[in-house]
Amino acid sequence: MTGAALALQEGPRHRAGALLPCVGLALAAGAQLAGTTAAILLGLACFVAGLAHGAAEETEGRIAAFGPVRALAYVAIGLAVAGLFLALPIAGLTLFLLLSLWHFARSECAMGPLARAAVGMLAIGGSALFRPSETTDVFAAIVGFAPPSVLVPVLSMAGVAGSVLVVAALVRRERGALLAASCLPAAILFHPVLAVGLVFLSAHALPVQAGQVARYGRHAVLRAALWPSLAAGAGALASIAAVSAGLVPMPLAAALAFGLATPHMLTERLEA
Amino acid sequence: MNDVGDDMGRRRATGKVILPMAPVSVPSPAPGMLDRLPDVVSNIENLVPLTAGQYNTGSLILMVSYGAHFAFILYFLMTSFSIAPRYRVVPILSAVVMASAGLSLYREFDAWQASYAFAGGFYLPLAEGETFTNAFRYGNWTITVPLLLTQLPIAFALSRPDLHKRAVRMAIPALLMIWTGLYGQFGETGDWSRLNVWGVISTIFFVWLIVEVRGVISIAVRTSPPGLASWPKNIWWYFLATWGLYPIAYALPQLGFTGDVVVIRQALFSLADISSKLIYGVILSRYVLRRSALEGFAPAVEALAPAPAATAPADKPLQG
Repeated sequence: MTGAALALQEGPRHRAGALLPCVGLALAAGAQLAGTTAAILLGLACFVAGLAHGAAEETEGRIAAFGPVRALAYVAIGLAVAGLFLALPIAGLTLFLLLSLWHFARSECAMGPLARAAVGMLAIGGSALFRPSETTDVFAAIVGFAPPSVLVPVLSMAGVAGSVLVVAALVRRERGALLAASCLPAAILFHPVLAVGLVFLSAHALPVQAGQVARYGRHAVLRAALWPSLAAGAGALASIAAVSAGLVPMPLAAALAFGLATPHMLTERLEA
Repeated sequence: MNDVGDDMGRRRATGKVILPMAPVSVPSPAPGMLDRLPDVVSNIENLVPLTAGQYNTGSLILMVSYGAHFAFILYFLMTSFSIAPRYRVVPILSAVVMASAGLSLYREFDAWQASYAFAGGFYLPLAEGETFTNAFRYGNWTITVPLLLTQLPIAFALSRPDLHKRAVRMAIPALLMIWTGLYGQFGETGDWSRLNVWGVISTIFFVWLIVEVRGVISIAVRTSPPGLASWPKNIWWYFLATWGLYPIAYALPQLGFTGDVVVIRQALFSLADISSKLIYGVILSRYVLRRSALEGFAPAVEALAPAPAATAPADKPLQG
Protein backbone atom coordinates (compact mmCIF):
# COMPACT_ATOMS: atom_id res chain seq x y z
CA MET A 1 0.00 0.00 0.00
CA THR A 2 1.38 3.41 -0.91
CA GLY A 3 2.12 6.10 1.63
CA ALA A 4 -0.60 8.30 0.16
CA ALA A 5 -3.16 5.54 0.43
CA LEU A 6 -2.12 4.88 4.00
CA ALA A 7 -2.37 8.57 4.78
CA LEU A 8 -5.88 8.63 3.35
CA GLN A 9 -6.89 5.52 5.21
CA GLU A 10 -5.54 6.82 8.47
CA GLY A 11 -6.53 10.40 7.82
CA PRO A 12 -8.98 10.92 10.70
CA ARG A 13 -6.42 9.63 13.23
CA HIS A 14 -3.84 12.06 11.91
CA ARG A 15 -6.29 14.92 12.21
CA ALA A 16 -7.10 13.82 15.74
CA GLY A 17 -3.37 14.16 16.35
CA ALA A 18 -3.83 17.90 16.03
CA LEU A 19 -5.32 17.79 19.51
CA LEU A 20 -2.14 16.33 20.89
CA PRO A 21 -0.38 19.63 21.57
CA CYS A 22 -3.42 20.79 23.57
CA VAL A 23 -3.34 17.61 25.61
CA GLY A 24 0.42 17.99 26.04
CA LEU A 25 0.11 21.60 27.12
CA ALA A 26 -2.62 20.70 29.62
CA LEU A 27 -0.57 17.87 31.12
CA ALA A 28 2.49 20.09 31.25
CA ALA A 29 0.53 22.84 32.97
CA GLY A 30 -0.51 20.34 35.62
CA ALA A 31 3.09 19.22 36.14
CA GLN A 32 4.32 22.81 36.27
CA LEU A 33 1.75 23.62 38.94
CA ALA A 34 2.76 20.52 40.89
CA GLY A 35 6.31 21.83 41.26
CA THR A 36 9.73 21.90 39.66
CA THR A 37 10.47 18.21 40.24
CA ALA A 38 7.25 17.13 38.55
CA ALA A 39 7.94 19.51 35.67
CA ILE A 40 11.45 18.17 35.16
CA LEU A 41 10.27 14.56 35.40
CA LEU A 42 7.56 15.12 32.80
CA GLY A 43 10.08 16.88 30.57
CA LEU A 44 12.46 13.93 30.84
CA ALA A 45 9.56 11.56 30.14
CA CYS A 46 8.88 13.53 26.93
CA PHE A 47 12.50 13.09 25.86
CA VAL A 48 12.36 9.34 26.54
CA ALA A 49 9.03 9.00 24.70
CA GLY A 50 10.47 10.79 21.69
CA LEU A 51 13.49 8.53 21.36
CA ALA A 52 11.59 6.12 19.12
CA HIS A 53 11.53 8.52 16.16
CA GLY A 54 15.27 8.06 15.71
CA ALA A 55 15.55 4.43 16.72
CA ALA A 56 15.48 2.98 13.21
CA GLU A 57 17.23 3.71 9.97
CA GLU A 58 15.42 4.96 6.90
CA THR A 59 17.37 3.97 3.85
CA GLU A 60 16.71 3.10 0.23
CA GLY A 61 12.97 3.51 0.57
CA ARG A 62 12.50 1.35 3.64
CA ILE A 63 12.83 1.51 7.38
CA ALA A 64 14.94 -1.04 9.23
CA ALA A 65 16.67 -1.58 12.53
CA PHE A 66 20.34 -0.62 12.70
CA GLY A 67 22.64 -3.50 11.82
CA PRO A 68 25.37 -4.46 14.33
CA VAL A 69 28.16 -2.61 12.47
CA ARG A 70 26.07 0.52 12.09
CA ALA A 71 25.01 0.29 15.73
CA LEU A 72 28.65 0.05 16.79
CA ALA A 73 29.55 3.03 14.60
CA TYR A 74 26.62 4.92 16.09
CA VAL A 75 27.85 4.29 19.63
CA ALA A 76 31.46 5.14 18.66
CA ILE A 77 30.42 8.50 17.19
CA GLY A 78 28.16 9.13 20.17
CA LEU A 79 31.01 8.46 22.59
CA ALA A 80 33.33 10.75 20.60
CA VAL A 81 30.79 13.57 20.88
CA ALA A 82 30.33 12.78 24.58
CA GLY A 83 34.11 12.99 24.94
CA LEU A 84 34.07 16.43 23.30
CA PHE A 85 31.24 17.44 25.62
CA LEU A 86 33.24 16.41 28.68
CA ALA A 87 36.49 17.97 27.48
CA LEU A 88 35.00 21.21 26.14
CA PRO A 89 31.52 21.45 27.67
CA ILE A 90 30.47 24.79 26.22
CA ALA A 91 31.76 23.83 22.77
CA GLY A 92 29.92 20.51 23.10
CA LEU A 93 26.74 22.30 24.11
CA THR A 94 27.11 24.72 21.20
CA LEU A 95 27.59 21.82 18.80
CA PHE A 96 24.52 20.07 20.16
CA LEU A 97 22.28 23.15 20.09
CA LEU A 98 23.31 24.16 16.57
CA LEU A 99 22.84 20.63 15.26
CA SER A 100 19.46 20.43 17.00
CA LEU A 101 18.35 23.66 15.34
CA TRP A 102 19.46 22.38 11.94
CA HIS A 103 17.90 18.96 12.54
CA PHE A 104 14.53 20.30 13.70
CA ALA A 105 14.41 22.80 10.85
CA ARG A 106 14.85 20.13 8.18
CA SER A 107 12.95 17.27 9.78
CA GLU A 108 10.90 15.11 7.45
CA CYS A 109 7.33 15.73 8.55
CA ALA A 110 4.11 17.33 7.42
CA MET A 111 5.09 20.85 8.47
CA GLY A 112 6.06 23.82 6.37
CA PRO A 113 9.61 25.19 6.35
CA LEU A 114 8.80 28.28 8.43
CA ALA A 115 6.99 26.18 11.04
CA ARG A 116 9.90 23.73 11.25
CA ALA A 117 12.42 26.53 11.58
CA ALA A 118 10.25 28.13 14.28
CA VAL A 119 10.21 24.87 16.22
CA GLY A 120 14.01 24.60 15.96
CA MET A 121 14.56 28.19 17.07
CA LEU A 122 12.14 27.90 19.97
CA ALA A 123 13.60 24.56 21.04
CA ILE A 124 17.06 26.03 21.49
CA GLY A 125 16.17 29.62 22.38
CA GLY A 126 12.59 29.83 23.63
CA SER A 127 13.36 29.15 27.27
CA ALA A 128 16.45 31.35 27.12
CA LEU A 129 14.21 34.21 25.98
CA PHE A 130 11.32 33.76 28.37
CA ARG A 131 12.91 32.07 31.40
CA PRO A 132 16.58 33.07 31.32
CA SER A 133 17.34 32.45 34.98
CA GLU A 134 16.03 28.88 35.03
CA THR A 135 17.70 28.22 31.69
CA THR A 136 21.03 29.34 33.09
CA ASP A 137 20.53 26.99 36.05
CA VAL A 138 19.79 24.08 33.71
CA PHE A 139 22.91 24.76 31.65
CA ALA A 140 24.94 25.02 34.85
CA ALA A 141 23.67 21.61 35.96
CA ILE A 142 24.39 20.12 32.54
CA VAL A 143 27.96 21.36 32.16
CA GLY A 144 28.87 21.35 35.85
CA PHE A 145 29.71 25.04 36.19
CA ALA A 146 28.16 28.44 35.62
CA PRO A 147 27.98 28.94 31.85
CA PRO A 148 29.44 32.10 30.27
CA SER A 149 27.08 34.99 30.80
CA VAL A 150 26.85 35.57 27.06
CA LEU A 151 25.35 32.13 26.33
CA VAL A 152 21.73 32.67 27.38
CA PRO A 153 21.40 36.15 25.79
CA VAL A 154 22.76 34.78 22.50
CA LEU A 155 20.34 31.86 22.63
CA SER A 156 17.47 34.20 23.46
CA MET A 157 17.97 35.76 20.03
CA ALA A 158 17.07 32.38 18.57
CA GLY A 159 13.95 32.57 20.74
CA VAL A 160 13.08 35.96 19.24
CA ALA A 161 13.64 34.59 15.73
CA GLY A 162 11.47 31.56 16.57
CA SER A 163 8.65 33.80 17.79
CA VAL A 164 8.79 35.87 14.60
CA LEU A 165 8.80 32.71 12.50
CA VAL A 166 5.72 31.43 14.33
CA VAL A 167 3.87 34.61 13.39
CA ALA A 168 5.10 34.34 9.80
CA ALA A 169 4.00 30.71 9.60
CA LEU A 170 0.57 31.62 10.98
CA VAL A 171 0.16 34.55 8.57
CA ARG A 172 1.07 32.30 5.66
CA ARG A 173 -1.23 29.59 7.03
CA GLU A 174 1.62 27.19 6.65
CA ARG A 175 1.09 23.56 7.44
CA GLY A 176 2.07 22.87 11.05
CA ALA A 177 1.88 26.55 12.02
CA LEU A 178 -0.45 25.84 14.94
CA LEU A 179 1.85 23.11 16.18
CA ALA A 180 4.76 25.54 16.02
CA ALA A 181 2.65 28.15 17.77
CA SER A 182 2.01 25.72 20.61
CA CYS A 183 5.75 25.85 21.35
CA LEU A 184 5.45 29.49 22.35
CA PRO A 185 3.26 29.00 25.45
CA ALA A 186 5.42 26.01 26.37
CA ALA A 187 8.53 28.19 26.36
CA ILE A 188 6.79 31.01 28.21
CA LEU A 189 5.02 28.99 30.88
CA PHE A 190 7.08 25.93 31.69
CA HIS A 191 10.39 25.01 33.26
CA PRO A 192 13.03 24.77 30.47
CA VAL A 193 13.40 20.99 30.75
CA LEU A 194 9.64 20.55 30.43
CA ALA A 195 9.32 23.16 27.69
CA VAL A 196 12.09 21.71 25.52
CA GLY A 197 10.93 18.14 26.19
CA LEU A 198 7.40 19.05 25.12
CA VAL A 199 8.58 20.91 22.01
CA PHE A 200 10.84 17.98 21.10
CA LEU A 201 8.08 15.40 21.53
CA SER A 202 5.04 17.18 20.14
CA ALA A 203 6.58 19.35 17.41
CA HIS A 204 9.40 17.12 16.22
CA ALA A 205 9.47 13.49 17.33
CA LEU A 206 5.77 12.67 16.93
CA PRO A 207 5.33 14.45 13.57
CA VAL A 208 8.45 12.69 12.26
CA GLN A 209 7.18 9.36 13.54
CA ALA A 210 3.77 10.03 11.99
CA GLY A 211 5.55 10.63 8.70
CA GLN A 212 7.37 7.31 9.05
CA VAL A 213 4.07 5.53 9.69
CA ALA A 214 2.53 7.19 6.64
CA ARG A 215 5.49 6.20 4.44
CA TYR A 216 6.14 2.64 5.60
CA GLY A 217 3.11 1.55 7.61
CA ARG A 218 2.72 1.05 11.34
CA HIS A 219 3.93 -2.54 11.40
CA ALA A 220 7.17 -1.79 9.56
CA VAL A 221 7.95 1.13 11.88
CA LEU A 222 7.14 -0.95 14.94
CA ARG A 223 9.25 -3.86 13.73
CA ALA A 224 12.23 -1.60 13.02
CA ALA A 225 12.06 0.71 16.02
CA LEU A 226 10.58 -1.28 18.89
CA TRP A 227 13.66 -3.00 20.31
CA PRO A 228 16.10 -0.15 19.77
CA SER A 229 13.54 2.21 21.33
CA LEU A 230 13.14 -0.03 24.34
CA ALA A 231 16.91 -0.33 24.72
CA ALA A 232 17.44 3.43 24.37
CA GLY A 233 14.56 4.13 26.73
CA ALA A 234 15.90 1.69 29.32
CA GLY A 235 19.33 3.30 29.05
CA ALA A 236 17.85 6.76 29.46
CA LEU A 237 15.77 5.73 32.48
CA ALA A 238 18.78 4.01 34.06
CA SER A 239 20.81 7.14 33.49
CA ILE A 240 18.14 9.34 35.08
CA ALA A 241 17.91 6.98 38.05
CA ALA A 242 21.70 6.87 38.44
CA VAL A 243 21.92 10.67 38.46
CA SER A 244 19.05 10.91 40.94
CA ALA A 245 20.79 8.41 43.23
CA GLY A 246 24.05 10.34 42.99
CA LEU A 247 25.84 7.43 41.32
CA VAL A 248 26.64 9.30 38.12
CA PRO A 249 27.45 13.02 37.91
CA MET A 250 24.97 15.03 35.89
CA PRO A 251 27.57 16.37 33.38
CA LEU A 252 28.60 12.81 32.50
CA ALA A 253 25.00 11.68 32.01
CA ALA A 254 24.27 14.81 29.96
CA ALA A 255 27.38 14.25 27.85
CA LEU A 256 26.30 10.68 27.10
CA ALA A 257 22.74 11.75 26.32
CA PHE A 258 23.79 14.55 24.01
CA GLY A 259 26.53 12.45 22.48
CA LEU A 260 24.24 9.55 21.68
CA ALA A 261 21.57 11.84 20.23
CA THR A 262 24.02 13.49 17.83
CA PRO A 263 24.61 10.65 15.32
CA HIS A 264 20.86 10.43 14.78
CA MET A 265 20.74 14.09 13.82
CA LEU A 266 23.62 13.74 11.38
CA THR A 267 22.77 10.49 9.71
CA GLU A 268 19.00 10.59 9.46
CA ARG A 269 17.66 10.34 5.89
CA LEU A 270 20.90 11.06 4.11
CA GLU A 271 19.22 10.68 0.73
CA ALA A 272 16.72 13.46 1.51
CA MET B 1 70.03 18.70 13.76
CA ASN B 2 73.75 18.18 14.30
CA ASP B 3 73.53 19.51 17.82
CA VAL B 4 70.72 17.10 18.50
CA GLY B 5 72.72 14.28 16.99
CA ASP B 6 75.76 15.13 19.11
CA ASP B 7 73.59 15.37 22.15
CA MET B 8 72.05 11.98 21.49
CA GLY B 9 75.56 10.60 20.99
CA ARG B 10 76.64 11.94 24.38
CA ARG B 11 73.60 10.37 25.96
CA ARG B 12 74.38 7.00 24.48
CA ALA B 13 78.04 7.26 25.46
CA THR B 14 77.22 7.97 29.09
CA GLY B 15 75.20 4.77 29.51
CA LYS B 16 73.31 4.87 32.79
CA VAL B 17 74.99 7.99 34.07
CA ILE B 18 72.43 10.75 34.33
CA LEU B 19 73.71 14.04 33.05
CA PRO B 20 71.71 17.21 33.74
CA MET B 21 72.22 18.34 30.19
CA ALA B 22 69.27 20.64 29.81
CA PRO B 23 70.01 22.82 32.85
CA VAL B 24 73.67 23.06 31.90
CA SER B 25 73.10 24.10 28.33
CA VAL B 26 70.15 26.42 28.84
CA PRO B 27 70.88 29.95 30.04
CA SER B 28 69.47 30.84 33.46
CA PRO B 29 65.98 32.20 33.09
CA ALA B 30 65.26 35.80 33.95
CA PRO B 31 63.69 36.39 37.38
CA GLY B 32 60.03 35.50 37.32
CA MET B 33 60.41 33.78 33.96
CA LEU B 34 59.59 30.33 35.29
CA ASP B 35 56.34 31.61 36.76
CA ARG B 36 55.45 33.07 33.39
CA LEU B 37 56.56 29.98 31.49
CA PRO B 38 53.03 28.85 30.65
CA ASP B 39 52.43 32.24 29.04
CA VAL B 40 55.67 32.07 27.07
CA VAL B 41 55.50 28.56 25.64
CA SER B 42 52.43 27.58 23.70
CA ASN B 43 51.97 23.85 24.25
CA ILE B 44 51.85 21.67 27.33
CA GLU B 45 54.62 19.49 25.95
CA ASN B 46 56.99 22.28 27.04
CA LEU B 47 55.84 22.17 30.65
CA VAL B 48 55.76 18.47 31.48
CA PRO B 49 58.69 16.15 32.23
CA LEU B 50 58.13 12.72 30.73
CA THR B 51 59.09 9.30 31.97
CA ALA B 52 61.19 7.22 29.60
CA GLY B 53 58.11 5.19 28.73
CA GLN B 54 56.05 8.26 27.93
CA TYR B 55 58.83 9.86 25.91
CA ASN B 56 59.47 6.72 23.88
CA THR B 57 55.77 6.14 23.33
CA GLY B 58 55.45 9.69 22.03
CA SER B 59 58.43 9.16 19.74
CA LEU B 60 56.96 5.90 18.50
CA ILE B 61 53.56 7.44 17.80
CA LEU B 62 55.08 10.26 15.76
CA MET B 63 57.47 7.94 13.94
CA VAL B 64 54.73 5.50 12.97
CA SER B 65 52.58 8.42 11.86
CA TYR B 66 55.06 9.98 9.47
CA GLY B 67 56.31 6.58 8.34
CA ALA B 68 52.81 5.43 7.43
CA HIS B 69 52.05 8.63 5.55
CA PHE B 70 55.27 8.46 3.53
CA ALA B 71 54.79 4.77 2.74
CA PHE B 72 51.31 5.31 1.36
CA ILE B 73 52.44 7.93 -1.16
CA LEU B 74 53.57 5.01 -3.29
CA TYR B 75 50.33 3.11 -2.73
CA PHE B 76 48.17 6.00 -3.91
CA LEU B 77 50.34 6.80 -6.91
CA MET B 78 50.30 3.18 -8.05
CA THR B 79 46.57 2.89 -7.42
CA SER B 80 45.91 5.85 -9.69
CA PHE B 81 46.98 3.84 -12.76
CA SER B 82 43.99 1.51 -12.36
CA ILE B 83 41.44 4.29 -12.05
CA ALA B 84 39.48 6.01 -14.78
CA PRO B 85 40.87 9.43 -15.74
CA ARG B 86 37.76 11.15 -14.40
CA TYR B 87 38.52 9.95 -10.88
CA ARG B 88 42.30 9.59 -11.07
CA VAL B 89 42.94 12.81 -9.24
CA VAL B 90 41.38 11.28 -6.09
CA PRO B 91 44.31 8.97 -5.23
CA ILE B 92 46.76 11.57 -6.55
CA LEU B 93 45.35 14.09 -4.09
CA SER B 94 45.71 11.43 -1.41
CA ALA B 95 49.38 11.08 -2.35
CA VAL B 96 49.81 14.85 -2.04
CA VAL B 97 48.09 14.74 1.35
CA MET B 98 50.38 11.90 2.43
CA ALA B 99 53.48 13.87 1.43
CA SER B 100 52.35 17.03 3.14
CA ALA B 101 51.18 15.29 6.32
CA GLY B 102 54.27 13.07 6.38
CA LEU B 103 56.58 16.09 6.23
CA SER B 104 54.63 17.87 8.93
CA LEU B 105 54.66 14.82 11.17
CA TYR B 106 58.35 14.32 10.55
CA ARG B 107 58.87 17.93 11.65
CA GLU B 108 56.83 17.16 14.80
CA PHE B 109 58.96 14.09 15.45
CA ASP B 110 62.11 16.11 14.94
CA ALA B 111 60.93 18.80 17.36
CA TRP B 112 59.96 16.13 19.88
CA GLN B 113 63.46 14.65 19.73
CA ALA B 114 65.14 18.02 19.96
CA SER B 115 63.09 19.56 22.72
CA TYR B 116 63.51 16.87 25.38
CA ALA B 117 66.72 15.92 27.20
CA PHE B 118 67.19 13.08 29.66
CA ALA B 119 68.14 14.38 33.10
CA GLY B 120 67.38 13.30 36.65
CA GLY B 121 65.55 10.17 35.49
CA PHE B 122 63.10 12.11 33.31
CA TYR B 123 62.96 13.59 29.86
CA LEU B 124 62.86 17.30 30.54
CA PRO B 125 61.32 19.76 28.08
CA LEU B 126 62.97 22.86 26.63
CA ALA B 127 66.25 21.05 26.04
CA GLU B 128 68.88 23.27 24.43
CA GLY B 129 66.31 26.06 24.42
CA GLU B 130 64.16 24.17 21.89
CA THR B 131 60.40 24.33 22.24
CA PHE B 132 57.85 21.86 20.96
CA THR B 133 54.77 23.07 19.12
CA ASN B 134 51.67 21.46 17.69
CA ALA B 135 51.13 24.47 15.46
CA PHE B 136 52.77 22.65 12.55
CA ARG B 137 49.83 20.27 12.58
CA TYR B 138 47.45 23.16 12.04
CA GLY B 139 49.64 24.49 9.25
CA ASN B 140 49.52 21.08 7.64
CA TRP B 141 45.74 20.84 8.00
CA THR B 142 45.43 24.18 6.25
CA ILE B 143 46.86 22.45 3.17
CA THR B 144 45.46 18.95 3.51
CA VAL B 145 41.91 19.44 4.77
CA PRO B 146 40.66 21.35 1.70
CA LEU B 147 42.24 18.63 -0.45
CA LEU B 148 40.59 15.86 1.57
CA LEU B 149 37.24 17.56 1.24
CA THR B 150 37.65 18.21 -2.48
CA GLN B 151 38.23 14.50 -3.00
CA LEU B 152 34.64 13.79 -2.02
CA PRO B 153 32.76 15.59 -4.81
CA ILE B 154 35.33 14.36 -7.35
CA ALA B 155 34.91 10.76 -6.20
CA PHE B 156 31.13 11.11 -6.23
CA ALA B 157 31.22 12.47 -9.81
CA LEU B 158 29.43 15.72 -9.13
CA SER B 159 29.09 17.94 -12.19
CA ARG B 160 31.99 20.32 -12.61
CA PRO B 161 30.21 23.56 -11.58
CA ASP B 162 28.64 21.79 -8.63
CA LEU B 163 32.01 20.29 -7.71
CA HIS B 164 33.70 23.68 -7.59
CA LYS B 165 30.85 25.22 -5.63
CA ARG B 166 30.73 22.39 -3.11
CA ALA B 167 34.51 22.29 -2.69
CA VAL B 168 34.60 26.00 -1.87
CA ARG B 169 31.61 25.72 0.45
CA MET B 170 33.39 22.98 2.40
CA ALA B 171 36.82 24.60 2.36
CA ILE B 172 35.68 27.92 3.85
CA PRO B 173 34.31 26.56 7.16
CA ALA B 174 37.15 24.03 7.28
CA LEU B 175 39.81 26.73 7.11
CA LEU B 176 37.98 28.94 9.57
CA MET B 177 37.66 25.97 11.91
CA ILE B 178 41.40 25.23 11.67
CA TRP B 179 42.60 28.81 12.07
CA THR B 180 40.33 29.60 15.01
CA GLY B 181 41.44 26.33 16.57
CA LEU B 182 45.07 27.27 15.98
CA TYR B 183 44.59 30.58 17.72
CA GLY B 184 42.73 28.93 20.59
CA GLN B 185 45.23 26.14 21.15
CA PHE B 186 47.85 28.67 22.21
CA GLY B 187 45.77 28.96 25.38
CA GLU B 188 46.27 25.33 26.35
CA THR B 189 49.07 26.15 28.80
CA GLY B 190 46.61 27.71 31.21
CA ASP B 191 44.62 30.40 29.45
CA TRP B 192 41.43 28.35 29.57
CA SER B 193 39.16 31.16 28.50
CA ARG B 194 41.16 31.51 25.27
CA LEU B 195 41.14 27.76 24.72
CA ASN B 196 37.41 27.49 25.37
CA VAL B 197 36.13 30.61 23.64
CA TRP B 198 38.05 29.85 20.46
CA GLY B 199 37.13 26.20 20.88
CA VAL B 200 33.46 27.21 20.78
CA ILE B 201 34.01 29.45 17.75
CA SER B 202 35.91 26.65 16.02
CA THR B 203 33.07 24.26 16.87
CA ILE B 204 30.57 26.56 15.16
CA PHE B 205 32.63 26.31 11.97
CA PHE B 206 32.87 22.54 12.53
CA VAL B 207 29.07 22.31 12.58
CA TRP B 208 28.92 24.40 9.40
CA LEU B 209 31.49 22.08 7.83
CA ILE B 210 29.68 18.86 8.67
CA VAL B 211 26.42 20.28 7.31
CA GLU B 212 28.23 21.06 4.03
CA VAL B 213 29.89 17.64 3.88
CA ARG B 214 26.53 16.02 4.58
CA GLY B 215 25.13 17.88 1.59
CA VAL B 216 27.74 16.28 -0.68
CA ILE B 217 27.13 12.86 0.86
CA SER B 218 23.38 13.26 0.32
CA ILE B 219 23.96 13.92 -3.38
CA ALA B 220 26.23 10.87 -3.52
CA VAL B 221 23.65 8.65 -1.82
CA ARG B 222 21.17 9.62 -4.53
CA THR B 223 23.54 9.37 -7.50
CA SER B 224 25.95 6.52 -6.74
CA PRO B 225 25.58 3.47 -8.99
CA PRO B 226 23.37 0.78 -7.46
CA GLY B 227 26.32 -1.48 -6.70
CA LEU B 228 27.96 1.27 -4.67
CA ALA B 229 24.89 2.80 -3.07
CA SER B 230 25.92 1.99 0.48
CA TRP B 231 29.43 3.48 0.17
CA PRO B 232 28.64 7.20 0.59
CA LYS B 233 26.63 6.50 3.70
CA ASN B 234 29.41 4.36 5.17
CA ILE B 235 31.96 7.02 4.27
CA TRP B 236 29.81 9.58 6.11
CA TRP B 237 29.71 7.45 9.25
CA TYR B 238 33.45 6.99 9.01
CA PHE B 239 33.99 10.72 8.51
CA LEU B 240 32.00 11.56 11.64
CA ALA B 241 33.77 8.97 13.79
CA THR B 242 37.27 10.04 12.78
CA TRP B 243 36.92 13.83 12.57
CA GLY B 244 35.29 13.82 15.99
CA LEU B 245 38.65 12.91 17.53
CA TYR B 246 40.27 16.27 16.77
CA PRO B 247 38.21 18.45 19.13
CA ILE B 248 38.81 15.98 21.95
CA ALA B 249 42.56 16.18 21.41
CA TYR B 250 42.29 19.98 21.29
CA ALA B 251 40.58 20.09 24.68
CA LEU B 252 42.59 17.40 26.41
CA PRO B 253 45.15 19.66 28.19
CA GLN B 254 42.36 20.82 30.48
CA LEU B 255 42.51 17.42 32.13
CA GLY B 256 45.89 18.33 33.57
CA PHE B 257 49.54 18.94 32.73
CA THR B 258 50.74 15.35 32.96
CA GLY B 259 52.89 13.13 30.81
CA ASP B 260 49.96 10.83 30.16
CA VAL B 261 47.88 13.70 28.78
CA VAL B 262 50.79 14.73 26.54
CA VAL B 263 51.15 11.22 25.13
CA ILE B 264 47.42 10.53 24.82
CA ARG B 265 46.97 13.83 23.00
CA GLN B 266 49.71 12.96 20.50
CA ALA B 267 48.13 9.52 20.10
CA LEU B 268 44.69 11.03 19.44
CA PHE B 269 46.03 13.53 16.92
CA SER B 270 47.99 10.82 15.13
CA LEU B 271 45.12 8.33 15.20
CA ALA B 272 42.84 11.00 13.78
CA ASP B 273 45.41 11.90 11.10
CA ILE B 274 45.95 8.31 10.02
CA SER B 275 42.21 7.60 10.02
CA SER B 276 41.01 10.77 8.34
CA LYS B 277 43.76 11.00 5.74
CA LEU B 278 45.35 7.64 5.10
CA ILE B 279 42.53 5.15 5.68
CA TYR B 280 40.01 7.63 4.29
CA GLY B 281 42.17 7.87 1.17
CA VAL B 282 42.27 4.10 0.86
CA ILE B 283 38.47 3.92 1.19
CA LEU B 284 37.93 6.63 -1.42
CA SER B 285 40.44 4.98 -3.75
CA ARG B 286 38.61 1.67 -3.48
CA TYR B 287 35.34 3.45 -4.15
CA VAL B 288 36.61 5.14 -7.32
CA LEU B 289 38.27 1.91 -8.43
CA ARG B 290 34.94 0.11 -8.21
CA ARG B 291 33.17 3.01 -9.84
CA SER B 292 35.72 2.99 -12.66
CA ALA B 293 35.13 -0.73 -13.15
CA LEU B 294 31.37 -0.26 -13.21
CA GLU B 295 31.84 2.39 -15.88
CA GLY B 296 33.86 -0.10 -17.95
CA PHE B 297 37.41 1.20 -17.48
CA ALA B 298 39.46 -1.86 -18.39
CA PRO B 299 42.39 -1.50 -15.91
CA ALA B 300 39.90 -1.18 -13.06
CA VAL B 301 37.97 -4.20 -14.27
CA GLU B 302 41.23 -6.14 -14.39
CA ALA B 303 42.28 -4.93 -10.96
CA LEU B 304 39.02 -6.16 -9.48
CA ALA B 305 38.88 -9.40 -11.46
CA PRO B 306 38.83 -12.54 -9.31
CA ALA B 307 42.11 -14.39 -9.01
CA PRO B 308 42.53 -17.27 -11.45
CA ALA B 309 41.97 -20.80 -10.12
CA ALA B 310 44.81 -21.75 -7.80
CA THR B 311 46.29 -24.66 -9.75
CA ALA B 312 45.17 -26.04 -13.03
CA PRO B 313 45.80 -29.77 -13.46
CA ALA B 314 48.42 -29.09 -16.15
CA ASP B 315 50.39 -26.95 -13.71
CA LYS B 316 50.78 -29.71 -11.17
CA PRO B 317 54.40 -30.85 -10.83
CA LEU B 318 55.13 -34.20 -12.31
CA GLN B 319 55.33 -36.98 -9.80
CA GLY B 320 57.97 -39.74 -9.90
